[in-house]
Amino acid sequence: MREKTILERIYDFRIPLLIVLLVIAFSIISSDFLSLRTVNTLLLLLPANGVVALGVTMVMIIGELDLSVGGVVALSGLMMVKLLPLGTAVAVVVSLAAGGFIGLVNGVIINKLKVNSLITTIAVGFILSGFSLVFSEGTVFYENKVLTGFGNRSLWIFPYTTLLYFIMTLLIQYVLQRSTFGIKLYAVGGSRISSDYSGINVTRMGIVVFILSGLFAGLGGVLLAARLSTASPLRGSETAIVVITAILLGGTTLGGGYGDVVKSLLGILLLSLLTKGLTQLEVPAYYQSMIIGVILIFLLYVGSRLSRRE
Amino acid sequence: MEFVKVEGLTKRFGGVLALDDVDLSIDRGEVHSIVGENGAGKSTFIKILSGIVKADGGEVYFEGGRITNAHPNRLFEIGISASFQETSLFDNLTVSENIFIGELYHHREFRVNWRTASGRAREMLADFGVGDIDPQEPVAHLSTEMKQIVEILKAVKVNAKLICLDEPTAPLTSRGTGLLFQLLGELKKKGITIIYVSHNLNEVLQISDRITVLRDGRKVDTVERKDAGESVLHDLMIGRSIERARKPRKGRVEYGRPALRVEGLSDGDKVMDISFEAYREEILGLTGLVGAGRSEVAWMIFGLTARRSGEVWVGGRRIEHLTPDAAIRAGIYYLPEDRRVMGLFLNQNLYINTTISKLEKVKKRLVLDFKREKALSEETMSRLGVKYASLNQIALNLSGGNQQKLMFGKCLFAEPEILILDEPTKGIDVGSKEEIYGLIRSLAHEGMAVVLISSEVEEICLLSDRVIVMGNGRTLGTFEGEHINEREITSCYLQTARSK
Amino acid sequence: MRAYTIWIFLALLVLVMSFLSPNFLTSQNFTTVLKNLAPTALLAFGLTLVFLGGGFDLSQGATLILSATLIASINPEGAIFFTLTVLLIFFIAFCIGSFNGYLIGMHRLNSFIVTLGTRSIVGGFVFIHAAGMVVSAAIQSPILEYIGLDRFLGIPVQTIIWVVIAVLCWFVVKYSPYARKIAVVGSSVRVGKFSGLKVEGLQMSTYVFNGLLAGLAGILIGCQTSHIAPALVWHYDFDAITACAVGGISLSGGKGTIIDTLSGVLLLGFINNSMIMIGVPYKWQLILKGLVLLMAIIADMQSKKSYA
Repeated sequence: MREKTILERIYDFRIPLLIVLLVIAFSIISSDFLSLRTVNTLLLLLPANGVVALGVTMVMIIGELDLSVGGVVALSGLMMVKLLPLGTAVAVVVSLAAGGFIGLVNGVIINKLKVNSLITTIAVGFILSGFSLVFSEGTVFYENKVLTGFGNRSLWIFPYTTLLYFIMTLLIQYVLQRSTFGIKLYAVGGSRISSDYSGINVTRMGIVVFILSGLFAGLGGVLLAARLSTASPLRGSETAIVVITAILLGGTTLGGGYGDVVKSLLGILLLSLLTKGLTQLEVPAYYQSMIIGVILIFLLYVGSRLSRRE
Repeated sequence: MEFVKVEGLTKRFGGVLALDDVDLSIDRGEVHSIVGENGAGKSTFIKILSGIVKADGGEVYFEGGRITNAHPNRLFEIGISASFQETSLFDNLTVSENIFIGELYHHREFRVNWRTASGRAREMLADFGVGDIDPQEPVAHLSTEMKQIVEILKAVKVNAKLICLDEPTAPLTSRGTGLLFQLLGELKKKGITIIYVSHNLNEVLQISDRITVLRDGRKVDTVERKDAGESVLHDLMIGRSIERARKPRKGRVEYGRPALRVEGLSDGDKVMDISFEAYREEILGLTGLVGAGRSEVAWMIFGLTARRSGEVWVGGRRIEHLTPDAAIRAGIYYLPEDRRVMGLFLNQNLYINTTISKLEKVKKRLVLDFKREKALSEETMSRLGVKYASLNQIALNLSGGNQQKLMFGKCLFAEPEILILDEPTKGIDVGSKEEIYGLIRSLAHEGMAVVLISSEVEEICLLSDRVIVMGNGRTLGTFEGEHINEREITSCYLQTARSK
Repeated sequence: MRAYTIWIFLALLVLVMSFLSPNFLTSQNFTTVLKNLAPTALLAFGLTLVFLGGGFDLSQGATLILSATLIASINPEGAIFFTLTVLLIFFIAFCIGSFNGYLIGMHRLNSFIVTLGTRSIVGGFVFIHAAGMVVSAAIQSPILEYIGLDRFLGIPVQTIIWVVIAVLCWFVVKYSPYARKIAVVGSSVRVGKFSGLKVEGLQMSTYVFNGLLAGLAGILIGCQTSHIAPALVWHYDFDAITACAVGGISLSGGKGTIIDTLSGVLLLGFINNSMIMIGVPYKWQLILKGLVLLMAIIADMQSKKSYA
């Protein structure tokens, strides 16, 4: 394989570079950007979508999509709040299990019944939004010191939830790169047929990955509810799009077989940085999504020009 | 107890009987080859044996146990593995990951030590004589020949008792073939049984202990190697003796203006400097080693790739901007090497495939005329002898030979004057081959200028009026008349092999 | 045709509903349903062509909203002004479609990502124009009112428009050489190239076409009412995608007919209508809609399997 050009090397590191650039840019424009407080606030925003991204990244590596995560986020938050009387731990565990169960349903429909994942998860997402409204038509408040504490407190500048997210990312990354499960995931993403012939249980992998996605989405919902001290059926409407955008920014592709969760973490970081920074600069929300859209397309364009050279 | 026993194996694809009540037995430790026409069922047989395709009838026994229609996983477990023509590698994984992925089935541990795996892969690659392949390299970056080697290593790796190889040498150079045979020798010493499917009778005669001939889905006979010879096998395969006309087409054509002329063609990569002329009513053979750049020449003429330099004239007119569309309008048509991936829309039906390059012929006032389309397609199909169940069936369901004919049909429908054929009989049985040869000759006779790109020197000698041998992107030699023979041509391009 | 299952589903639904709700089987209800199908139908037809060519378009919803807010806020009166406005909107829709088509068709970028990006960008423009607020004109222009609310020979103008477009699309997809080329390109871009087709341009054109239809759909919505709350009309594109999928359009390209799309559009429309008729609360509507959708696509997949 021939040597990479400088431009290609830069492209490989585009996301970290962009992050650094943005940090520099924002701190020049806004003097208190680099303050501990700002950093802390920024880090606090990461886990809710980040954790969801862990699951969705794996789904994308296997070559599918999961658009139901938004619904899971909303539903799991609500479930947890409603179940708090039974005990914090029970509430959290059951909510996570619910997420996993939804993932199981997705996985079975998509892999056993061979239905397209995009449409299936859209449909399931509909259903979940409805169920969320059944749980509660409006925002639900609750009081639980443990949960809210965990959701908001920090170790120096690092919020507990964010630490959890970082650790989970490293764990999942290890699993992806160094375990049997990981290589099978990439294999199925690369070619279902070859995987089948190689002795990999493609159906089982497909189901497991959706269960994981559901679990992580459930965790995302729990973390969000913990941070905000509320649960709401309206949550999660943008989650799927935001998470997928972050994953794509990070460099995971849609076709399957490529990508990892560290990249997704960088993507989440980039996206949050952008959003927070622009908000601080009082850029309206719609401009923000426009800018993100432009960046997405721009990166895609540059990426394709570079690979054209090969 | 026979090692492998097959009884009454039957398989149907759509309306076509691919295997018809085949009985076969394979002895432990032998190299058993299967030859025959593509429609004969060799590939199907192997696919059933390795669990990829389900049989419609009959039984398969392995070491006394029934394994009919078992899943490939299970067959893997008991020691049967296979390697196919269409590589089943993971482009997104590295070489060592590809080689060992099958083992994971047995790997109960959670963790995988890739460093060890990589080291073992390196050893294997060195053993096989291709130590220069890096185990960490993503397979996507490998050449076709390298990929085939990895594919074979993959099948060989698993503790197999029975290895089935389907046309393993098709993309290999002679060096690769030599290495493969060496490897097969080693495997045989270890007591591993090999089933070898191939069109190349030379190879088969070299390595086999026994040879089974299939024809039209039925087993014709199984012969010992000592009783077999090329003509014997040919006869069995076709069911009649062929007198292969070894003399090139006689009769000189009057050379007027060339139908196609290229000069100084180069793409800066595979093709450095090619010039030639093609005339009507003539078949120009273009041959050389794999990698000489022959297909690349065709791609430039057809407008698929950009040319760095050089000119192309069609019928005296120079064509500046070549795109496939412009080429077709100028009367050129290119028949690609890989019909499945380049030549046919596999999930579309037969008439859609046939008419797509010249829809004007089936238009009635701006709108498609389905009746005319089907009628013309039917005509084309019958002219070429394509066997099909219905025009509405999808191209995927045709046998290899018929798919190739369909591709010819698609090409002829566009009414070209210059035909560039790239390996037109690759992966085709002897019977269909002869039909296609006849077709090519008659097309030339009717006035077309034919450029025939082929790696089979025999084929080149059989059909061509003139031959150009290419090597390293340049012309190595041109041959005419009595100089068109296997000896001279082969020695011409072996020059390159030696000088590499 | 694989869509038989969907038509059967539809028939069953109508049958069941006629028992469950007295007002269902009335001409008034059917007229309303068909009228309200207009935006989804138009989007679905455009999307069918995009799918046929092997692509994907997430941005049509944004184009639709932009067109709707533009026409509602400009509120043109008089034939000339109206025509100019419509042309302007079509031009903008054309530009959006061309932008998509250029990046996807010519530069071969991934259609999902590009249209996701365009969706954000165009969505941003909507907000710039409308600042997230409800757009409304004090008094709606009579022409807009005519298109939005009136009838022609007893049939709502919106219905006439979309049915006419439906027939046109059906004709084009079934009989035109253009659609044939799009379909084969959707099957395989490479083989299309080898067959002499201008694949880049063909794929690009599907996005332009889709953009224009989305613009038209937006105009129709903008005429329906003088109050446009952008937030409320974001669902039409997902409806269109699901209508196509339900109808059996192949999401990977090469296969699909307008009749198939129509079956999906109708089913979806009648599901929505049925639930309103029965008086199902919104939250249960969502659940039921999702469930029926799920069942429809599962059933369709099962019927496809036995065909293969």
